[in-house]
Amino acid sequence: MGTYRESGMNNYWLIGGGAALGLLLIASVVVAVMQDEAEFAPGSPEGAVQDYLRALEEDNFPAAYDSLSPELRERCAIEDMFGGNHSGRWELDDRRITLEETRTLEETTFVTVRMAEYRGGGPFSSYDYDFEETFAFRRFDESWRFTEFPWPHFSCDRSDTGFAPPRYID
Amino acid sequence: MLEMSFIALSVLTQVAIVGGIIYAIYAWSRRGRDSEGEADPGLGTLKRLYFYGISFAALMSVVAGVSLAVQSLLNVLFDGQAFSLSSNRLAWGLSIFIVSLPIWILHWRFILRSVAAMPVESRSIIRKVYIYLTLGVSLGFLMGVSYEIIKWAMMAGEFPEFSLASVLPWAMAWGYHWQIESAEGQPTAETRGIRRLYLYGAALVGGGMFAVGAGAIVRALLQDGYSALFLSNVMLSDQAGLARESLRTDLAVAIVGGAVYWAHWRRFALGDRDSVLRWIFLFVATVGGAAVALGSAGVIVFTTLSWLLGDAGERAALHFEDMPGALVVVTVGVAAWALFRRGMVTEAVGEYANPVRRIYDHLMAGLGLAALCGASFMIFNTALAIFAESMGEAIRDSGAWRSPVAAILAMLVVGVPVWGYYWRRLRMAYAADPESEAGALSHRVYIFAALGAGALAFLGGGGGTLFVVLRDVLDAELSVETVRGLTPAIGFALTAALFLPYHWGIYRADQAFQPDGPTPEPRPVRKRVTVLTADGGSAVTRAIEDALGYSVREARWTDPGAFIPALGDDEAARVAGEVSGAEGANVILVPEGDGLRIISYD
Repeated sequence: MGTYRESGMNNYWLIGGGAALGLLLIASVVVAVMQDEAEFAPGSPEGAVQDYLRALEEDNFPAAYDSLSPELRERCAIEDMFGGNHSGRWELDDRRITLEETRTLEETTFVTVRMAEYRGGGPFSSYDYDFEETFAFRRFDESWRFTEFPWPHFSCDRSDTGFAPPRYID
Repeated sequence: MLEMSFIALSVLTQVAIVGGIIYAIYAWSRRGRDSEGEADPGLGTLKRLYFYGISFAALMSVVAGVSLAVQSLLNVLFDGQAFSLSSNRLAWGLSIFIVSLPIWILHWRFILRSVAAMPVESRSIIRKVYIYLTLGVSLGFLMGVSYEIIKWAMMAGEFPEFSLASVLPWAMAWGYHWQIESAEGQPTAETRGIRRLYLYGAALVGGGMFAVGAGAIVRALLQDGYSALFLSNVMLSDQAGLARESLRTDLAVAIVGGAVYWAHWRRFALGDRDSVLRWIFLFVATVGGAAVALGSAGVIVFTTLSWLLGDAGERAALHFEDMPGALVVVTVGVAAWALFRRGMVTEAVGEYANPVRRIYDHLMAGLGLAALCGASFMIFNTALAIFAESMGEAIRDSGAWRSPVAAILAMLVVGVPVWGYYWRRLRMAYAADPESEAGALSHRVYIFAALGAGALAFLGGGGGTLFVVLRDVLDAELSVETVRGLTPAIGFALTAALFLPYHWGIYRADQAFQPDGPTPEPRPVRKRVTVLTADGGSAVTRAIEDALGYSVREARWTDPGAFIPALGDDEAARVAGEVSGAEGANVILVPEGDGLRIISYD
């Protein structure tokens, strides 16, 4: 690189840009090391989402199941929710989940979160996507419980017949 | 409209890539003749390929790694409070960066030292391909991320974390290589060609983006006016008005495209002359603009005629709903046509004046001819369809003829004046200087393209016609359906039959002005030749055969005084000449003294 400096090329901008990128890289590492999951207030709707997600992450099935409203629990047994090929801890692997917004409509509170996932496959191949999920809550006995089946257990509903079974014609 | 813009950009990019490949082949073929390179091989091709290839891959990895790491920082700073964390992105970014940075530095330092030690290295085609490939890729990413950032700045898009994270690394990669290239220059024709490929490719894509973005804005505004005047709209508030999101998105496309076009065409390529690629750019921009303008003009005429002929089954306001869009496309096309035509005329001075005029006229005549061929095909097609319909029992007037007739008239309205005007100019130039015009490459390409397309259409159409007829004859199903099945094939065949003879006539007329080729030598008269020679005289026989150019028979001389004559190349040639000139159809060569005696008989 010395050759071009000698030939009169202005490399100050390059040094400045490189320094800025270096600082950004250091800041990325520092911030990542110092960053911690937020602690939402216990008893708040956001805290309920956090408790539910942590229960999923720790395979604490009773705690996760307990976050459903009584009506939802009638429609979905704990073995239906977590038995078989259920969605659970692996859904949270390497996912960054952040709070987008909290809204209240009459007795129901909606907490919207953004789930982002990045899987690298090298410098020229990666998988990067994100989506939003909204959880609906209502207060039962001084605690927030889901009034709609929460992500990722949408299909846990005995009363929902889903698609009609195929009819076979002889 | 945005989808159309992406299609247009995709087409432009493909044109640029195909053009680049064609130019690369052209430049490579000229390399041996025009190369100003030195005998010094420098690093050598294989070593260069290795160092520049690894440098390119490592540099791209460095940029990707930095972008990912910085994006993770932006995630933390600007996302909401986190329920759950993931360090995947940062870990990937850092790992790619840490591995690829030393590889890039090692290889790039070696390259810089080599260039300093061996000046011939700066002339290397591989080096220039590396530099301009890096510039092209960096520019492509810069355009993409700038578009996202501008959109977000105008509140028309989501927070562009990746774009914000990668804009600086890409800008640095582009700036560093541009600086190196500007200092180094392009000392040879090949390296200048690589630079031009980048400059004109970027200008073409940037200009296309600007035209599409600006056109979309004007179209949307005109459409608003039309809707307000003639249609009752139920419009959501964020989809109306000057500040609507779609307009801001179009504005972002226009800003990015305009900036790239201005920088590459108006600044970097300003003083570039004597360049094939520059002419290709000018022709693509000029004739492309004309094609867009004429095509949209055809759509306007068709829409109007189909209304006048009663083909529209809807009220006028709905039928003409797309008119504002078509008018905008005509305007954009005419603007590009006029702007680049002016540039072409300004630059086509001296030795370029005639060839440029000729190429432009042929391209425009080709556009007109294509419209005329389309009209002719539809005329035959529609006539046959109407004929087939008339053979059946009509229950009611279907009116199916109205739309094709409107299309035919629209194509004629566009095609006749364009073809007539430019073809007349060409014929007048031909009449003034037939020798130059007949031998011009553009004229020959035009004629052979017309003949080739016509011959292929005739082949396809004729084959299709025969197939339908034979199929129905063999199945004993010859009926009005046969005529219906024949329509497209006959349309092709008759259109080709209409245009082929005229162009064939021009081709025949051109032959009179072709330069005379070398006079072919008369073929030697072949005779039945027998060579009489003693045992072991096959060498004499072969020498005679080589001189004559065909096989001869060898007869064994068995008398006691038999001998093998001495026969050099000159003597063999002399003998061959005498054999050809001998009276009889048969010749026998008899050894005599130092040579051969030639006796001919019938």
